[in-house]
Amino acid sequence: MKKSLGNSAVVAALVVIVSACGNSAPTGKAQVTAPPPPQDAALARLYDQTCRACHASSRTGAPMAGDTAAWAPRMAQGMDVLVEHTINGYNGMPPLGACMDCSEDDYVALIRYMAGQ
Amino acid sequence: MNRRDLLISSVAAATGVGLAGCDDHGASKLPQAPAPTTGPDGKRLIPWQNWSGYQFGVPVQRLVPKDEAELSDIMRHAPGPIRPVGAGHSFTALVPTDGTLLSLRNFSGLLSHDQDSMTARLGAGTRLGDVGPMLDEVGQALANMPDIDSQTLAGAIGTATHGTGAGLGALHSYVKALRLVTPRGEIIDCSAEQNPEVFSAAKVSLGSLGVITQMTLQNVPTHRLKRRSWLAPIDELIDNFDQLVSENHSFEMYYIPFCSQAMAVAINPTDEPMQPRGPEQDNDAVMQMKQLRDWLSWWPGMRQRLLDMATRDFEPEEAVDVWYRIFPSSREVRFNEMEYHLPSEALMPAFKQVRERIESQHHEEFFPVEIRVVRGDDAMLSPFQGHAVSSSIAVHRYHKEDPLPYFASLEPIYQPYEGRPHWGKMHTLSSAQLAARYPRWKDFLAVREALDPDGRMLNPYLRQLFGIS
Ligand SMILES: Cc1cc2nc3c(=O)[nH]c(=O)nc-3n(C[C@H](O)[C@H](O)[C@H](O)COP(=O)(O)OP(=O)(O)OC[C@H]3O[C@@H](n4cnc5c(N)ncnc54)[C@H](O)[C@@H]3O)c2cc1C
Repeated sequence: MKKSLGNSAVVAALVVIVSACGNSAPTGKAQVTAPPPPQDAALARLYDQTCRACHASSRTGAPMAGDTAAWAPRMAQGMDVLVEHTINGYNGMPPLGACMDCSEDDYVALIRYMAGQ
Repeated sequence: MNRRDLLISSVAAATGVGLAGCDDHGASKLPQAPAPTTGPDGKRLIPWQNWSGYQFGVPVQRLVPKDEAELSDIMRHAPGPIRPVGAGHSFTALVPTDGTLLSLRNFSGLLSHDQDSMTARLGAGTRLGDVGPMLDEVGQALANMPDIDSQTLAGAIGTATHGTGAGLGALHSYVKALRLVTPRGEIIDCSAEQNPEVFSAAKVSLGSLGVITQMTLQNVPTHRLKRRSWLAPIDELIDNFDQLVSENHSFEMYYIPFCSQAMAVAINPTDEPMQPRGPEQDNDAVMQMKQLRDWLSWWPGMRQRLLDMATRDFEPEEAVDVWYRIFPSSREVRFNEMEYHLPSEALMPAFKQVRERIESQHHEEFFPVEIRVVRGDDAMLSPFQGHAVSSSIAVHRYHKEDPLPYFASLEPIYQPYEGRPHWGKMHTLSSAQLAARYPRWKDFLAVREALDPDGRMLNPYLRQLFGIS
């Protein structure tokens, strides 16, 4: 049993499963230059205190601020969907993003900024 | 389909089992935050939720004071319960309120620093991820950090957040002084010399004494760290645990359920050239362990055999970087968590029971169990109080699955050892049980009563925790 399993796809798969910690799979993230901070000072501060930690770090799964290609399919879902995802959390993003006090308008402005719009 | 997905599908085919089981693992029992309602201005009124989505509340107002004068005014007049929030990364109901939610994000940044004493004064709402570069720039470093860096300073010390290392204390043990704005609007500076009783209570105070606006931290000179992670047979790591802890600046172990190998992570100071950490892999690994659970929870022998084979050739990983890029990882698979702190001598006996119970009764579990050590300190509500070195065991449950049956099954294991739960993580201890485990419990409650006689900062969870009706 052991021997036959040794050559099977099962083993290959599991090598991938657990050694995921060792074999870095490409994340598919392009190098993105950070966009200039929002012109509105309050929004710039809000972005800096909340979204930036994940959306400007290549170590998280979040689409990078300014990566218009990564944001395009998300924006295509409509702003309502993106705000809903932000409020309730989506994949790695926790509920409310990282903003404990943002209003709906704040979320819309932050999303637009990160999507390059 | 990428190579990994293709291979995963092959596992399903090879093992001949259906892809996802029918068991929702209690998903339908999870509490759900209410849907946002529409306010008078036609905009959504947004409920507050914590990181895992398990805790929530609908505050009547969410305020973001810009300075201490405004905060002091809010403390006197705003509708209670007044609950300060950091980054919402606690799993317990410390934050939910139907009164006033206070965000401290305007109290952030490096306010001053002193190179001779290696101290720095920072805004209490500064996130740990921002503290790193700020301190590094002035030649300082936090002595230790937790697993992630999303928390705020005040939120982190408020629940005794810690990393791992026998010589490394929890974050609050490095606080030299702090400033509190009380529910009566007073501003109190405290330290070991100034208001020492308040200081000893306020370091770990679950946001129940007032709002912390700034703190002074005892830091160390900035430095480079080397992180090494490797897999080894779990029995070998258990046998060598004490030695590995004493040989390394920082050491922790992850037990992978249903696998004979466990992961070890050691962090040590180094002068070696930079070798940054690669993309975070832990999140993918956890989801794939979940996938394996979905297919094989009914056949633990095969699950173990496959995991063992898969982990056999794991190459140790090494990274060298500045301290704040080595300590924290990114946790993108959300979960709920229970962590208990135990006297050192109780660690392995308790862990062996946890492992036995998981492998005999919790075939649904797939999250690695984290085992760490923390140097003791003397804050009144520090779970590490009175221990030279404490040890901790942390178990997790995927955020879309009910954590309660699993945690309820493991929690009794810690009771004969008088375990103390992490204040930010789920547990069911009563105020009477907590009082028996904290020698300075009554002293803390006396400070609380003096600073907040009307209980303006107490939400239902804190009332129950402190035994205040
Ligand atoms: C993914 C993840 C990983 C984690 N890793 C670790 C780890 O490695 N080690 C560990 O020990 N813990 C860990 N935790 C737990 C976490 O560190 C704590 O729960 C911490 O309290 C969260 O900080 P926060 O800023 O989110 O605070 P919150 O959860 O928002 O608040 C925590 C407490 O602090 C109070 N508070 C917040 N701000 C203030 C203020 N200005 N003044 C007074 N009180 C205030 C709140 O009222 C509350 O009582 C982790 C949690 C998650 C979700």
